[in-house]
Amino acid sequence: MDPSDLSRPGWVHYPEMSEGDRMVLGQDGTALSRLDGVVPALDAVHPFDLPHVRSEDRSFVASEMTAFLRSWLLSVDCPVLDRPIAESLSGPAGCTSTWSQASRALGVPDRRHAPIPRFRSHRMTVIGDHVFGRVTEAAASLAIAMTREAGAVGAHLTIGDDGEGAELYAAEPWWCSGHPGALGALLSWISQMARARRRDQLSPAGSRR
Amino acid sequence: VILLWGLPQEETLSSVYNALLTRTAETFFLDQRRALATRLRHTDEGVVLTLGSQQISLGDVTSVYPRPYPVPALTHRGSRSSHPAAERHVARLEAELWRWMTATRARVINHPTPAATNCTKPLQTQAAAACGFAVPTSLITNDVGALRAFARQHGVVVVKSAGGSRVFTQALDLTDAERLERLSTSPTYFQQYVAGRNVRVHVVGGLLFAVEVDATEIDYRKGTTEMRRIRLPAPVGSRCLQVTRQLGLVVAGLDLIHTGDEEWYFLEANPAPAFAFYPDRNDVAAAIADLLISPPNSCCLVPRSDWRTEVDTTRGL
Repeated sequence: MDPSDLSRPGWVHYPEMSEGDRMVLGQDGTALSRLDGVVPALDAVHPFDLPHVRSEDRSFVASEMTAFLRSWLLSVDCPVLDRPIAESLSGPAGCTSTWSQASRALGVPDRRHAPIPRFRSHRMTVIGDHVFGRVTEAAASLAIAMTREAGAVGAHLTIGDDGEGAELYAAEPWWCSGHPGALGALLSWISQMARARRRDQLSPAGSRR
Repeated sequence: VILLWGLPQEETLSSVYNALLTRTAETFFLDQRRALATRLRHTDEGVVLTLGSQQISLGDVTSVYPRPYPVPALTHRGSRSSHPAAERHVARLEAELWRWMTATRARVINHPTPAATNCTKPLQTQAAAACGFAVPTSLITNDVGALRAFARQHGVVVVKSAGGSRVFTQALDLTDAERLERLSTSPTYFQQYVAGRNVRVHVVGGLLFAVEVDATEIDYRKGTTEMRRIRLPAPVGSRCLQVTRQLGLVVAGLDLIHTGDEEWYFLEANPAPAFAFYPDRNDVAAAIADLLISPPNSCCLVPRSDWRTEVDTTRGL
């Protein structure tokens, strides 16, 4: 779905109790229980996402849709790959301060203000423990550690290594890359989480909830 | 050095600036109107900010009070060239400053990450409920049937912004067919109307400033008739401090409703309150100035990027 789907009537969300929430997929209202998982692939809804809305209303509608999605994605009872934080619908990977803190915690200089070096830089997409991109093992391990430290499952990172140590040159949500292998890893993450959730619901402790 | 960022003619910011001047605090006023004369340079010694002939190292900044206005407002005032290169310069400068504020160890009032909760009001009310406030029942929908059912259940319903846009809260009019037809455009935020007295509370660190507001309109900003300072009952004050802390804020403007049956409802929190509107403006400005001067670790409020963990989003499941 994309932001224009939020203009199909039928969306219902009770922020204080998500029982009774309804979403719209295609033309129809759908019970949320049919969802196996959600993979957010946008940082916010922007006015340019809404060509079907009157131009004078676009900024306001974009901000309202973003607020709705943030509230909805935080409460929806199914696996969500990186739930939103205040600054980004894509979770911690979309927040600049997350990466400042992660690079500080791991002692990796934050060089995101500097141009990316043409040589000895590694661009890669991380999904959980999987790394996609032609990179060295050391860069891949560091990227996994940084993503974990940031509290994200997915991320797209550029790490440079001039021989004297690694430096962070870019950090974005996973969907900024488009690496084909990452999509398979995303689907398998969602399936794994959905299976775990079903197991939990079927267990005696889960069914009591 | 204390860094203030915004427009000198804006009353809220200028009142803090004046309070800092009376305290002879070393202050750098980054005038947003002079953005084209402002530069940020990354050097081996750190980030250097220059405005015309003035210069500071951001490493020397101990606290920041940012109140920048959105770009369209500035363009409208004719203070910026409409040249794309000028627009790019300003956008890049503002993005760099915000990025620096997210990472700096200086005290930022308020830190950009928790301040972003302003963009999702429903999360604020959930945090307030967890702190013991009563909160109005709410619904976000673009479905007329669901809205009518909600209105049948709650009687008077108000429509407001969920995203922190500066729009007035108004009563829902179910006979306005044209507006109802446009509801499908976007899920819209509705709340049960709570009758009672409006109370605005400014929280500054551990201090509280409360004002009761009489008004003729649902949104008191449209029809204020009288304002008077009040003292909050201790448990309510404690909840105000708690919800501000829970949201990761140091300064907040909380809108409450005090009902006839002594219930205190939380409506929303504003992380950049325009307190100059209220009669206690000088005290609030002085308290913010004192907070900006105090050492960064003297106030307990550390910004949290993962604020949602303390918000119980599973209630009712």
